[in-house]
Amino acid sequence: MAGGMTGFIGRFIACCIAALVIGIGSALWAIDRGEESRSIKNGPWRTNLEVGTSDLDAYSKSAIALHALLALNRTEAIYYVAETDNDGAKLNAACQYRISGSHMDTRWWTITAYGSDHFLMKTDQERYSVSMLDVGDDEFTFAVGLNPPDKGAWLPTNGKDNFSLFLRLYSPSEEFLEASDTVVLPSIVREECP
Amino acid sequence: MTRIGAFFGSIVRWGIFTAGLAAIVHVVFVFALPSLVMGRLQSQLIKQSGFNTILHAPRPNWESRQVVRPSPDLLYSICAYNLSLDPVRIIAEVPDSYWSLSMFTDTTDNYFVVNDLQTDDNKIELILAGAGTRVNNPEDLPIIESPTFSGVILLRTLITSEDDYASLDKKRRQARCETYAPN
Repeated sequence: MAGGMTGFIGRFIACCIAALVIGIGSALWAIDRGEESRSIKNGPWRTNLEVGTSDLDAYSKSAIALHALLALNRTEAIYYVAETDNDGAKLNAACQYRISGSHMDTRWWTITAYGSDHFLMKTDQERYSVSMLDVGDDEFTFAVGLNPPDKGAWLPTNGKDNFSLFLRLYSPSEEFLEASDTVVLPSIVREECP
Repeated sequence: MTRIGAFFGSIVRWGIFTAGLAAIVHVVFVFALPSLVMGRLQSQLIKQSGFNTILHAPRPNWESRQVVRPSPDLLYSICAYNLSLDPVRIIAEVPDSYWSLSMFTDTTDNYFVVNDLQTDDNKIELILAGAGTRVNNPEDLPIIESPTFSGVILLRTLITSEDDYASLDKKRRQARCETYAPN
């Protein structure tokens, strides 16, 4: 009798643990997949149209809590994230990339590199972003990667794991907002990879 | 045969129990996550500075781990507010470069934002109150209503150049977030 009760409690605990793992795991999967489906693509860049808005469903709110906490609405700032290069390969912090672009119709823009944990990467240079003040706002090119380029601006990475680039545009024009899936954004071209 | 049938019946019953419980965990987790994330942020802020007090965060670097994807080009000043007793007054100096003041509910909704181009006199002063709350407002300040009684106010100051950093940092430290209860 005691053995039967022990077996029942054991199965009950095992099922509860399994339910927690499946429930939370499936929720995180659904939140991430939903976030991608609510985003629009523009080359390697992706932007979530719902960031900073109210009246969202529970999955959208959870996605914003995880990936864009305290983000501004789109009229104030528009955010694009790139996790791949122009050819669709994951951005690798051990590789070298060239970022090239031209004027974007906004008051200010900046591109920041984040590690796979979505936080700034520790590098010897302690430089985390490149802005329009660093490279100009007309035609620009700069390097991203582990090693400095021969010339020009450089956004260093730490050489570990994958990373992402985050493009922030403050006070974008109405035309830019309306065409956020077709405006010309900087290209991300992989040059060298060990 | 009976023992085999009982064995499979037991597996099915436990499987249905696990699937049902997993579905409940899934739904509860999705609905609770925004409040959990904001609650954690508010707790961290309250530990450092308390409610209704502004915290001028250091310039973001690789050690900044409170909020995902911090911008290294911005100086953040942040206030966790609680309006259950009294409204809050926010006063801030507005620089010539990009600056914004935004307000978020305790479930992450951004319900108010104003930037440097939308303010007069390089200074902003306003009252934040709970929705439907009567506010004693002898100075006739603008009143913003928060949909929830707690949340976060975030001030962003863009660092336009390293030369301007010290003056921008000094100016943003003039900002105040304080309980507002005039006689």
